[in-house]
Amino acid sequence: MSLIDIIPGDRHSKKPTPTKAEAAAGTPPSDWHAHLDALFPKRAMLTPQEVAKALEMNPRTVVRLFSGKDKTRPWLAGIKFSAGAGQRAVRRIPRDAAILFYAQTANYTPEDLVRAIVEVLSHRTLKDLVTIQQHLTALIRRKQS
Amino acid sequence: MPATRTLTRQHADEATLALPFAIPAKEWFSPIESARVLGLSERFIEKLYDEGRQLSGHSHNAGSGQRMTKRIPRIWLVTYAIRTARYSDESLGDALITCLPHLSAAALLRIADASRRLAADKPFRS
Repeated sequence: MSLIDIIPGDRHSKKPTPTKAEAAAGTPPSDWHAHLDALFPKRAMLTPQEVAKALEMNPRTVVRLFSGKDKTRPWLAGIKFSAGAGQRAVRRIPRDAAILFYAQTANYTPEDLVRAIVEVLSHRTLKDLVTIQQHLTALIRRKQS
Repeated sequence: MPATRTLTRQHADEATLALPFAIPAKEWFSPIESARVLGLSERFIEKLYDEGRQLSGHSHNAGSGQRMTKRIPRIWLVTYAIRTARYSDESLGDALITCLPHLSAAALLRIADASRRLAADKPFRS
């Protein structure tokens, strides 16, 4: 069995290969949702600080992405309001909007990542593969429970 | 003495060549940080990123300039390091294992399936 039989994907496809950005944009949102789900806290609305912590960014960068003027670039959608009489605004970013933002900025698809990992695994020894297999089984069981 | 402990840990980190310890405990890396980890130049990392075959990630622009901020997920960095390794070491597998918990159950199932098929094809050496 060759590696091409193991790596997922249609190798007989005659369609022109899309660019990385096109492929990332064409990936169903549900795939990105599953791929980036572990990054963010499990709440519908997130603060800029929570998004910044999840993405290891400066909170000011998140605020700038939120209130960016140039809407031709990927930007963070959300709501902004002021509850008191002060100038300071409160910003909330929907979890789905944060995931969508990261999907828009990607130059790969979740499929590419799986392929890359499988390619790496193909060069590992049997002992390594067995160890990785054991970890994978435990992880899958934990995620599915 | 916190200062001594920090210094000792720093020396230990520098002395350790095993891959999982060479990569800082964080999820996202800038091209400069990736270059430092892999011992490559920033320009080469940017080139690899732009090609998108071996190193991928996310690029955004929060300012008004033209230059995009590129950020590389840990798993892409580890996959690149393992793919280009011309030696066999258990630490390479360990580095990969540390990245797997962030993947979705569906992706893990597919990797597990591929790994099982690869293991079945490998010759057994005692």
